Amino acid sequence: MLLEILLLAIPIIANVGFFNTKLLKALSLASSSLELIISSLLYFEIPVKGIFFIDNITIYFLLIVSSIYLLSVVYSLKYIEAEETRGIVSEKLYYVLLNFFVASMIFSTIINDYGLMWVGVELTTVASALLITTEYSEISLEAAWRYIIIVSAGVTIALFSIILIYYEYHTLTVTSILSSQPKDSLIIKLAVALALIGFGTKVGVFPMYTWLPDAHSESPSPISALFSASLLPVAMYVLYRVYEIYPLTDLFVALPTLSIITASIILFKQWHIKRMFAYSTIENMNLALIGLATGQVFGAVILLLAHAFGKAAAFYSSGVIIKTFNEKKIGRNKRAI
Amino acid sequence: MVNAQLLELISASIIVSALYIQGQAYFKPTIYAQAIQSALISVLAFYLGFALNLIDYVILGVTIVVLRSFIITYFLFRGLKAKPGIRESTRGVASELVVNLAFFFLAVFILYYFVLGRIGLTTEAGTATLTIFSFILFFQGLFLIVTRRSTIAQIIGFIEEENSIVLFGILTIPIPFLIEVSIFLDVLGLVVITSLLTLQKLEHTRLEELMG
Repeated sequence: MLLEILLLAIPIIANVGFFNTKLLKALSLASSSLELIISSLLYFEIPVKGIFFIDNITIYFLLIVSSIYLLSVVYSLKYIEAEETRGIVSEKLYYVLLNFFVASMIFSTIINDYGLMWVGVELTTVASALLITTEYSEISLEAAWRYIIIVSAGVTIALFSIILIYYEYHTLTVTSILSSQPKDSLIIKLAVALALIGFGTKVGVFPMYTWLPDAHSESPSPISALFSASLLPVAMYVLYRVYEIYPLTDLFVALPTLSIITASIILFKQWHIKRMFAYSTIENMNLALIGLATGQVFGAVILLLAHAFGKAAAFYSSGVIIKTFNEKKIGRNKRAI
Repeated sequence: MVNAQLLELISASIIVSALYIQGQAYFKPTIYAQAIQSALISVLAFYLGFALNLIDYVILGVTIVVLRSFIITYFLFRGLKAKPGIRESTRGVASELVVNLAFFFLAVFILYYFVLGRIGLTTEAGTATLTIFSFILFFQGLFLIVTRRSTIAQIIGFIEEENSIVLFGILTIPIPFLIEVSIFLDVLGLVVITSLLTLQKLEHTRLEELMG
């Protein structure tokens, strides 16, 4: 119990250094390192059941979030400099929001309650929306706006699903619902289907994935990496927990397949280096979702782990390329190749 | 004892306010209509609170009327930058309303005959018919977000969606504390962010860098 509370509290406590940028950076670095250590220690304590729920699937998602958190903080130390943050988000606010963002992702992953998982997913939107505007421009403002509106609309649909689950089970505790007798009711089927559209918005499932290329391409690279490698898998984890209540396998295979097909076609037309990676993220997420839905859980987890580190590295590299050559178009970055 | 007809009357009035918003291009009346719509939702909550003798509903009603009818209305007017006479730079509001009405009747038909009539959802008033109002309101909000380009219209679309959640929740299940917190959190986050963003960007146009 202590480790889980520490896991949630540490990124928030790191924000006490708000009055001094150097201290805040140091505390963020310490916080991200501790998060990775605690996540690793939790591996030896699973399964955890109570207020928190951590099993042999949850732990991999925790490791993904804490690893990418550490990498993004290290990368940000040099990448986010005072002159870059000239809009709404100052350098200090950047680190504060980053720490809150990670805390909300961890909360969504370990909490043993569907309603609070929804709150956590919504909190990730609140904490991360302003981070998109760090490198302030008209385009980044528009991208942030699209992110807020599309994702919030999607997550509202997910709340319909949560209400229907409560209506049917009279509880929202994950372990209680998953250990109870499966209910073959239309209400539960509707709840699971709505969750696919609702939480699927954040995972990158067709047709509500349009926010994803905008947000990924206009965020600073460490945030793009956190979006692609951590946020989407966390939303997928929540979706998977809802899916476990009543597996609608056909639907959970059909929509991701459609997502992969459409993203693959659109990917060919991309000229913006980070938008191309964003469409690749959509493909990988939907492939992992198909894996989870068809019972290939560890295959999906391996894909998510590989994708997390690979795509984070791709976003970090593209950040360096864009900053060095001051050019986002792939064709014009030939000097970098 | 809950009077189902009164619930239907209030719910229908909420839908009328949503249709009014859809057919309006001027910002000022749209913002006021949003405030009235939220107030109607809180009236529903107050009525259920007194009829069922449950304080949870009353708290929910107070939260909604304070947050949405007053605080959000204030922020939206502040986002207008003291120019309440301005209208959205859009054409075809009337034709959008016609499309919306067609969409509205189709959605009602599909929802009532193919979904709600079959799943056996019962409400405090004892009928599944009432829950259809929440879905209609949700689609109205979604339609507003999709068809409009201004920040304010899109925020109002989002608030309509949030109102539809409350309408669904208070008619379907006893309100747990969790849902009140969720709605509060949602609106709070939205107010903080949108109050910053509306000051920066009032209209949304197609940008080449964000296409494809």
